[in-house]
Amino acid sequence: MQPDDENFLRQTFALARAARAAGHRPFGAVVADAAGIVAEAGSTQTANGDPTAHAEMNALRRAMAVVPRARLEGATLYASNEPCAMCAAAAFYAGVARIVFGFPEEKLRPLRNRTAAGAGIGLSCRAVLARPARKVEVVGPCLEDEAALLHDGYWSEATA
Amino acid sequence: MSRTTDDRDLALLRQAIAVSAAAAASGELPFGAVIAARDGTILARATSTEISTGDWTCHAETNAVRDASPRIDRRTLAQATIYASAEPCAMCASAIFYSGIRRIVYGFGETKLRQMLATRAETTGLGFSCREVLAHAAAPMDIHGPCLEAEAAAVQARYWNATSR
Repeated sequence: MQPDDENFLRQTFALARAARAAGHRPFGAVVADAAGIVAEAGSTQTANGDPTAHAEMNALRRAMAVVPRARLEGATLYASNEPCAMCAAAAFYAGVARIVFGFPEEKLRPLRNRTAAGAGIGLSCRAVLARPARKVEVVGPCLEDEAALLHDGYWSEATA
Repeated sequence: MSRTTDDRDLALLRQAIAVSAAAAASGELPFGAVIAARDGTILARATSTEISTGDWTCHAETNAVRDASPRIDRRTLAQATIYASAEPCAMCASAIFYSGIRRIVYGFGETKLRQMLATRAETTGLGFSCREVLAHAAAPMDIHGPCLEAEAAAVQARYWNATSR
């Protein structure tokens, strides 16, 4: 991790807690570079709304709306949780140089799979990003114990 | 779960290919998608809007999912099919899965599309077939394609071989 990485990652944890408190899934994401935060978002995905509105997707779309691609090519996507296949691909398309994540997909998967609505796609973001010539650097899991707390008691039929 | 493609599927896929041609004519990337209910009723139509929005996640299939999901109940989507002029990428395949749509019919295949774009570094894709991505999904998906590939390929070739691009 680089010097600011922990700070930005902890900001994604705060966004995940806020998303959960607002009735959404406990995920947060930040797009940032050396100049600071470009965009940030929590998950706003709901069963009857936009199923693509994951935290990372929301943050990347906001970032693309506010800064030119050239800046994103020097930016990092921070995610409280390892980005799913959709969000890893979105990061590639948005052009970010790096991804730094907290909790790993392989440990979230058994939690999510407790609920029909939460069951997802079991691919690591490194696997999704392995093939193109243009590489996205992936760093994680990071601060995993802190990131794990975001999911504490969340993934049950009553809440997820 | 699997349902073989029939004439209605091919007619709906032709609509998606027509949408892709209209997208190219309007200055967007040449991709189109149609979502139809089990009885063939069209629920959503979308083109790529990457060029006009500068949002590189606005692929046709993802746009169609974002349009349909808030309006259409999950039971209808669970019985619906998405028709895509070209094979959905890893992002769109995932978005389709998350929407609850479980059936995909596509035109032009990802392998051939990648070959067509191989000389253009900025457009190279992730190199995943949608079947490969969705083999990891928590529910089975019913995927058909390439279908009507010559018709779908003609739109792609017209766009990517144009000297002005």
